[in-house]
Amino acid sequence: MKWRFDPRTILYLLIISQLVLFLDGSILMEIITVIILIIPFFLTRQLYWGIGISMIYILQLLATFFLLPKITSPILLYPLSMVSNGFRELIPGMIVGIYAIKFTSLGEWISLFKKWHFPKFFTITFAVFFRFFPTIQQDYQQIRNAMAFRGIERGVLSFIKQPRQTFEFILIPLLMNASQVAQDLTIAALTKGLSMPGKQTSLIQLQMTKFDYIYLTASTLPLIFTLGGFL
Amino acid sequence: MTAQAIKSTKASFQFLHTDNFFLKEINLAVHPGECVLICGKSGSGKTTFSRLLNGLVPNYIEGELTGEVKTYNLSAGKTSIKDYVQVVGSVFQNPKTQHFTANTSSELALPLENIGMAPEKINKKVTETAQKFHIEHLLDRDIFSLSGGEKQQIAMASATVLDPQVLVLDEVSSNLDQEAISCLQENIKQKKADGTTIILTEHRLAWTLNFVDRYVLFNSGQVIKEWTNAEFRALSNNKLADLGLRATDLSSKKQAIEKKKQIHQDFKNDYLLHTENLTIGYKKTTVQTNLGIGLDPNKIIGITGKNGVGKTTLANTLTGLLKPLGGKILWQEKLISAKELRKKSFLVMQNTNYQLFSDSVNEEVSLNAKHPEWKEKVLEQLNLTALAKRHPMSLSDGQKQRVAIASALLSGKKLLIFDEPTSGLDYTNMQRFGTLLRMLKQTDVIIAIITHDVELAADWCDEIIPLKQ
Repeated sequence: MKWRFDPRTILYLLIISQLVLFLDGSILMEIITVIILIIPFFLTRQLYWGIGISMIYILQLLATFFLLPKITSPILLYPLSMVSNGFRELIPGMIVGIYAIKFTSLGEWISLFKKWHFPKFFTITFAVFFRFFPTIQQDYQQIRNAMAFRGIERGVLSFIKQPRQTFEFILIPLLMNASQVAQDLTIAALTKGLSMPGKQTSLIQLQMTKFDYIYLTASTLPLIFTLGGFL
Repeated sequence: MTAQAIKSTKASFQFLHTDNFFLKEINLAVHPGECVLICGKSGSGKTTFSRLLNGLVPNYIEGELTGEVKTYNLSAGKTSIKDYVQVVGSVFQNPKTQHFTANTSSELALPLENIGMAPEKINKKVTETAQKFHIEHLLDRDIFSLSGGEKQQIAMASATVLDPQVLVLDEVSSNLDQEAISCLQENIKQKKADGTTIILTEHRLAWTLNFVDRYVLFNSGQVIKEWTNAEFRALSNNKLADLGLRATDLSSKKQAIEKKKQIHQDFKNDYLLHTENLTIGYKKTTVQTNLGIGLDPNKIIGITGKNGVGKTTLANTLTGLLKPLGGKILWQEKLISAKELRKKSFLVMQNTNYQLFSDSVNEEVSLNAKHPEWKEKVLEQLNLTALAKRHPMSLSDGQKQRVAIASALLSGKKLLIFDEPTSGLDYTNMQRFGTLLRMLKQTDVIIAIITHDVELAADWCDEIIPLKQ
């Protein structure tokens, strides 16, 4: 099933998730919201996320309600309470964050920024920032290979034993390459009219689908019921 | 007289903060619809001149321009880069660094979006352009997952989506294999048939013979000579070599490669390292099976094959970055593990920026050196003595490559594999690299080269291992 969310829906869900956190209402409201938010992962067969988040959330719930009341030692209580209670409340927000990557594309976000007349410097910076992620990932792999040939330590241990040197060995080639890429990209972008004045249009035309409307409604219901005093 | 598409009149250019003119009094006129190729050594000013045609010089890359360079009615230095956008399309050398978006359709749409075309029209234009270049199958894909050749086709389509009257192609074939080049060739012919004026700068010349109308030779920033297509075809490979240019007739080179093919045999006595029924690949994907190949310090061995056939996987397996999926790698008839291979071997990467870590050449070659006492000699041999105090990143690509080799030799490496060492090199530099190979052959280090450079393989390798699908 091809399921996409409109970026506007995701922004709305982000607000909802923050309201749920902020209102700190009944636990039922939170659980229902989380269930509603997890469903798309299962429907789109992204079981890794669906099951993963469900497991973490269930463990946090169990810990909050069955483990925490029995603990008396403050040394254990505070960290456990932070993980099971504090982090648990952040789960709705995190899910929406994952949505932003899994259910929308970079192009859709940029299209939205253009539609809402965000300043050009913001839109371009945003695009370049995400353009660089895969580049850095590939570069990092190459650098690690190069380190292996030079007999330079590159494991997790080396970051602890000689953090300064290890970072330097990775960062210098990474930055040198990134600056080269940035220069080439600028040149290519200039010839493609990125600096043209006037309004830029967009290939991607954002359109809300029934999924968007279903989710805009569904995610609002628990909140309404809470405010109305039903939950 | 009809107006010229390009007219350069006594154009001289000096980069900011330099003392001498880099381009000197260039006179060149190109008719609308003509296809002109500018050749010449690295540093002869080809690329800089091409950037006068799309307005990048002197507007973005600054300096002083005298004389006049006109592309239709646009004048370099006087017209803003913005005004060039719809008149000149440009494609550059490196397929990895010219796409601005992560999705192919968005990349084709980018210039159209920038000029503010209506969305329905953008969609139509993107589809049309893709159909014209026969790349519909590449639409709506993640650009990072494409091959270099496919990326270059996207770059080409994106540069022509605004239907520019002039197309500037700056060493676009440098990083491509034969198959990708023939796709590109078709795209260029298509644009030529549409009446687009095309300017290419190139080192590799053989693939250009059936569409270029005129060849222009640059040397130290000057136009030295011009040939019509027929005149240029008549030049022998030797004559071209004298001019510092690469061959146009590769048939003799291809025959030579055919003769140098490594014959599958019992490698036991003659090869220091050989494989038996080697299967290579990644976790779940097998790339090549049943490989029997031999490497030896007394032979320079070339590894050739199309993109995606497994050349890099083979190199990664031989250097111990990947474990073999099956079969054996034997070093002096003894089974050798990936970990031991990693200690003995070194891969000179195509982009050597990744493998230089220190503040000076001296420190770089001494880092983890097993034989620091060889330093003077190795630096001398590789012609690096004068550069010993320089920062590695301030060096030219060829110099960086030699620093990487020096570091490998001082660490006592016994197997050196080069990944596409001559892509983007002119004839002179390719020959210089060949001489370097000869010198390395005198040492007890095994040398193997992954390459799609027909001339390098034919002229400088002793044996060729052709990988097939």
